[in-house]
Amino acid sequence: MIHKTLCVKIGDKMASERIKYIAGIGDLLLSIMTIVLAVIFWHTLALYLTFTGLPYLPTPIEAFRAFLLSFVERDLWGHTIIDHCIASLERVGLGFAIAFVTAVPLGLIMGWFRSVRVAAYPIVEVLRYIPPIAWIPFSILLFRVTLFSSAFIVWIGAFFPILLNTIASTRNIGRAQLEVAVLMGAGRKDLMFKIVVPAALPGIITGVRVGLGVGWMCVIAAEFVGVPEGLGLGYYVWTMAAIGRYAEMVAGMLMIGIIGLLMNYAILFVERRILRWREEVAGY
Amino acid sequence: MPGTRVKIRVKNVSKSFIGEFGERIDALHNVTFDVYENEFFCILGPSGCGKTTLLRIIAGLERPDTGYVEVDGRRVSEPLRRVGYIPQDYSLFPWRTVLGNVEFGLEVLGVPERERRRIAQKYIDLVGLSGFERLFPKELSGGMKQKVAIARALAISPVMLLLDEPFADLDAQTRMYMQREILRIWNEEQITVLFVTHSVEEAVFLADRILLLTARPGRVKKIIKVGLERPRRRTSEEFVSLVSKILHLLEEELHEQLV
Repeated sequence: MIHKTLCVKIGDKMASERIKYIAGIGDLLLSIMTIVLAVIFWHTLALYLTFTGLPYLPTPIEAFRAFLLSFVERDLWGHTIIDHCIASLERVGLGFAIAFVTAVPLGLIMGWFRSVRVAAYPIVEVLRYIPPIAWIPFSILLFRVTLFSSAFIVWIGAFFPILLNTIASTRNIGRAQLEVAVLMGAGRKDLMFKIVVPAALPGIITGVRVGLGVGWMCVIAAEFVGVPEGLGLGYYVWTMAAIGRYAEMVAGMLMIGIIGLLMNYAILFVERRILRWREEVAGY
Repeated sequence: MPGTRVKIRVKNVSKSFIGEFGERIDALHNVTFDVYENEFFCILGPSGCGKTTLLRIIAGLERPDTGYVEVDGRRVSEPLRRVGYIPQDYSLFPWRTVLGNVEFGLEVLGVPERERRRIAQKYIDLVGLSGFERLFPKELSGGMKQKVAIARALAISPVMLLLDEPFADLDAQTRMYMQREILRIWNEEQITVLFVTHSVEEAVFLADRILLLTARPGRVKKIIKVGLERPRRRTSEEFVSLVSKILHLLEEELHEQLV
């Protein structure tokens, strides 16, 4: 009997998958249409500004051309846009990695032990409302303009989303699950690593996704202020604007957006794999 | 078949809580009874009479205000170990597959992997979930989740099973099927089962003895020995008359509660 119901369920699944696929095409067309409309609007606005002699805005075609050329053309310092991307990603990678290994354990401990939470809350609450950007002068004083000065800003930016999401998900663990485990004979270590960590994982991953996004914004901001060796996407955008190469400036902005998008989707992809057991996996 | 050795001794247990507005709520009052080894023992009573609290006190998850509980002659002062506890919502671990859930207890008891797999498989087969080992709880129906919870509880060869209205959320057919299943498993495993329910019919179908609690605060109204031969027929005259006798006792309670 159970076999039969399961087969019916699987059959339903296939049908619904097909419906999803068709709906997917519709959604895709809708998305493409919005992009086309936005580009048309952008182009019209650029032309209008050119004719009226108001501030200069590159047309989408100019920006797109600059974007493609930036992969091969070297800038004043002999770097392609790929070099700038790599430099920015290094900084984000380092800052984010440090944020991950500090915020997740701290979040688990703060979520699990009320006393630690109460003790640490005042510090967290004071620090988390200082925008990461406000830390830039401090960071440069501390590290000069180095890889670490930018990574520090990324760390600040990524730390709090990961921390707060980890705390929240740790606190939400069902009491009954813990009790079942205790009665079966689980010790403290088992409870932490076999119940708390897996149960908190969805929250941790949400924090990671948000934290990485914030970290990416932070690195760009940090690079506006100064970078070693003239490398970094933020630096690229800023200097291109300064020397009047606006198409390249917009190309750099596009690159920043594309990388941010790809990072988000990479985490979502990982999330879907790791959290296959979940009832629902959130989008965006 | 129940033995004659006392497995669980509950003596003069009372428990009260502080309610939402600071008022005292008496959940249990001076409850005393024994459960014998390998007995199928049902705790029955109107809702809110402290059945769940009683089960939790026996498990050591809560402390009584007065009185004590002994399991195998030892006083319970902290959560018991090696007990198969199934709370109302099953509390499966959603991040583990069926197999992973059933293996959990063996893992924390330090059973080596191969042995663990063998034992887990045995209990998965016992509850009739062969072929579903790799599925996650979200992919299972209510009855199947219930079976996973039972297999998980049995896999550790527990000293006893504590079940808190385990079949309350199942549809009528599945519930009757699960009742037969739990009796079959109890027969095969030779284990003491403490089963909380609010359904008179369920208690009469399952139990060797039934502890009938009064409305709040829960006191022992009566301990009823169900002398019927198994398998019991729900439509037999003795069955129906016992059910109506207990229903009558329960109605007295409800009446008192309302007056």
